[in-house]
Amino acid sequence: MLLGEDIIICNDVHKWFGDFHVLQGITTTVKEGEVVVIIGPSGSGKSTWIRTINRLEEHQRGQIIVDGTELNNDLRNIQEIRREVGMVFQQFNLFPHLTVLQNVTLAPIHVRHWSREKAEEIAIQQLERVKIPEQASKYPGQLSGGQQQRVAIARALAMQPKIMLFDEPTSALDPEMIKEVLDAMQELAESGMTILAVTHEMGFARNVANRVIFFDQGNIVEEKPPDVFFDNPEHERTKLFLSQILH
Amino acid sequence: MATITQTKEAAALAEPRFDLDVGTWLRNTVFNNTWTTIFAVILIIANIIVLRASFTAEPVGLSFNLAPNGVPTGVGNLILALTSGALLTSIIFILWLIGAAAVVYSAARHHWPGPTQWLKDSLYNGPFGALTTLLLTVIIIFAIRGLLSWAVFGAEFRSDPEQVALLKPVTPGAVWGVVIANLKLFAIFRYSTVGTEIVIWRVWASLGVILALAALSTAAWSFGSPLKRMRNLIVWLWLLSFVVIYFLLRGVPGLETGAFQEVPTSRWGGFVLTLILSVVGIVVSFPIGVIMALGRRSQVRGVPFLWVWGVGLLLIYWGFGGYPDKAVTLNIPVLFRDPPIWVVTLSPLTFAALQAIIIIGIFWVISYFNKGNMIKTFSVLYIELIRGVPLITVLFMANVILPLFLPKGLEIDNLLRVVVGIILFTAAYMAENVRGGLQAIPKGQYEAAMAVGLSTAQSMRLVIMPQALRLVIPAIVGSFISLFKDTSLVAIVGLFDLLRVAQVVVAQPDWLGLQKESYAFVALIFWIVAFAMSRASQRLEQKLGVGKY
Repeated sequence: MLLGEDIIICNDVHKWFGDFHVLQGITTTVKEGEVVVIIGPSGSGKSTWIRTINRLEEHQRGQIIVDGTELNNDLRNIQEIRREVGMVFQQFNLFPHLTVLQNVTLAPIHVRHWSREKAEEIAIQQLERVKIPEQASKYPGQLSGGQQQRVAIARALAMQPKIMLFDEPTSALDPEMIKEVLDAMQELAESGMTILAVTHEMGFARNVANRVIFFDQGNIVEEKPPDVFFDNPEHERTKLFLSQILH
Repeated sequence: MATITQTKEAAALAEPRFDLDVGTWLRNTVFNNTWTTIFAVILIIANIIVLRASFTAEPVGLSFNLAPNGVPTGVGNLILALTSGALLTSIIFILWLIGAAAVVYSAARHHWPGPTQWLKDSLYNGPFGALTTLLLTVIIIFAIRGLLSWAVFGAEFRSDPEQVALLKPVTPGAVWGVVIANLKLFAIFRYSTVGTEIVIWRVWASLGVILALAALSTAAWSFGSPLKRMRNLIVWLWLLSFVVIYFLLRGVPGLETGAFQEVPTSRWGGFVLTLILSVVGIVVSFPIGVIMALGRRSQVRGVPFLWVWGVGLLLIYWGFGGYPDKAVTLNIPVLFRDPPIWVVTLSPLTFAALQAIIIIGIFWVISYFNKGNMIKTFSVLYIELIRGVPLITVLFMANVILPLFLPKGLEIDNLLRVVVGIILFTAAYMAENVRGGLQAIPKGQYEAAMAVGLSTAQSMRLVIMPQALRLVIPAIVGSFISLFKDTSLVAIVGLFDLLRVAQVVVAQPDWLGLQKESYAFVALIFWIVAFAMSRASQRLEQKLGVGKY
């Protein structure tokens, strides 16, 4: 696949939670259209890192540039970047008081200022893309976990973002629902979307990712294309981790 | 194994057993332990006392209509017979025994047809259930009998003062004439007095405005209504109606005659005043409460130079009271000094500087707490201060102390001050209710709202608040109901609300000594309104809660 310009640039990103040094100098770039899978043990800072990219977490040192805009305390910059970056959470975080369609159209109407008709048209397109247009008038509480997560993907896509962040999208799902979500993600990846995904789905990493980043203790230990990463890991820590998760 | 069970069941079906192990049953229930035994004895004694008392209850009182000159009419005799204590008690006791017998019979046959199953589940749920059923049935039926005896059978409904004066001593029940003759006082008090009856249409007109808007709202909010697009407009109309009704009731200032003459707020009273106080209190305190709740949870970081706020306040203060233009002498009391007063004369400039230091200093100290989040500090101070003080104190403050702070010449209407007091008081409770709802919203909702690009205000308005408010509807309506009932405290500061009118009514020579009727009527009105609010909140909850969680 042909990759474009650098769309995310992280330069020596540090973050502390109190005394705990979560991110200890992350330096990497992501190109347009690239699919990056981030793996690592829990507490290694991988979720925190992707949450700094749309400023759900604030970084305290270093530089993050997303789509040419640097993230700093300027609220306008943050809003601008959040418009271009979609996010899918582990716990779905759908708005329970709104229907599926309202969930998907909320941000396009109020942030993009599209007309209701246009927003609904795009919302239906995105719901069709994740294969649940028939659930549009239901409330999130009436859907299964897999369906909810696909609605969450549609909600993020309805803003027509340039980058999608996935924060362990399948970890809260029953095993039989994981595939439908991974299929939606794979379809998205094939359409050329820039994707950063924290996940434990090694099959997805191997088949779909352009690059795998291994996190440990707030540092990037290793970043390689998936075939190299899984077959010839370089670092001892990576080997140990892989031996524990690949049975 | 299976065959044995089957044969047992078949045997049970073939010949119904008839056995009752009373010993085991009593051992498992009444004599289970010391406490159950004591409880059973207490229940039995209570039943005996209540049954004896009800059996020998006095006959109900009959009014002059039912028993002229003390001789009951046919209807009077019928009522006396039907409500006789001995008869009622016997009927209740016999019905109870029949029910108990049916349950025992079914228990012995191990077969429960529908009605006895229901009896067992609801009324005869063990020995304690059966005894409590009897006790409560007797108490409830005799309470109803007593109420009817007072309010209906023994009551006098004539409202002519002369007749009432004659009948009052011989009437065993209520004399409702006091309510019927004074309905106008209860409703509007002295809004229209003798000679100014001409203004009364304005009350009806106000009522008309409210009813028209209510009808319009019902139409617009019913399902699939063509008026759906008008909902925003109707909300604005409601807010506008406050102003319209205020000017309608107030009239043209200065005009002394005619249909539009001024009626000062000091003449407003009765149920209308109670309604005005509670509705305005509810409508205005709600948004203030929401703002305070958000303020208390706000995470604004300290704005630098917060003392600028102090400067602003100082300028406003000087703007109202005037910049000090002459020397000020302060008498500062000092202990262990003779004379124990320290007299200091300050030049205008020094005095102004002292004021500035104090006010700016206060704001500087406030901004020092909560990492300089002054919005939070202010909200916390406000909420905790108001919640720590009884409503009566707030009303006194509004009525007596507030005028002392205001610049000379600026007078605020007494009613307005009281309304503001009520609003400020309720807003503090409202803030805590709303904060409770906000705390129940998971962090993920905030993150999701931010991640799709909504601004803080948008995520509050579109995502967080709708969920948080729905969670606290019961608590909010509880606050509204207590606000409605607490409006009766305004009598303390000289306003004539519904309850105060009830006192005034029975102070009239014609109606002396009829407090019971007057207060009962007022209690009924309060109950009806409060109950309606409670039902409305339940309907709202159901409507908002459908299929959403």
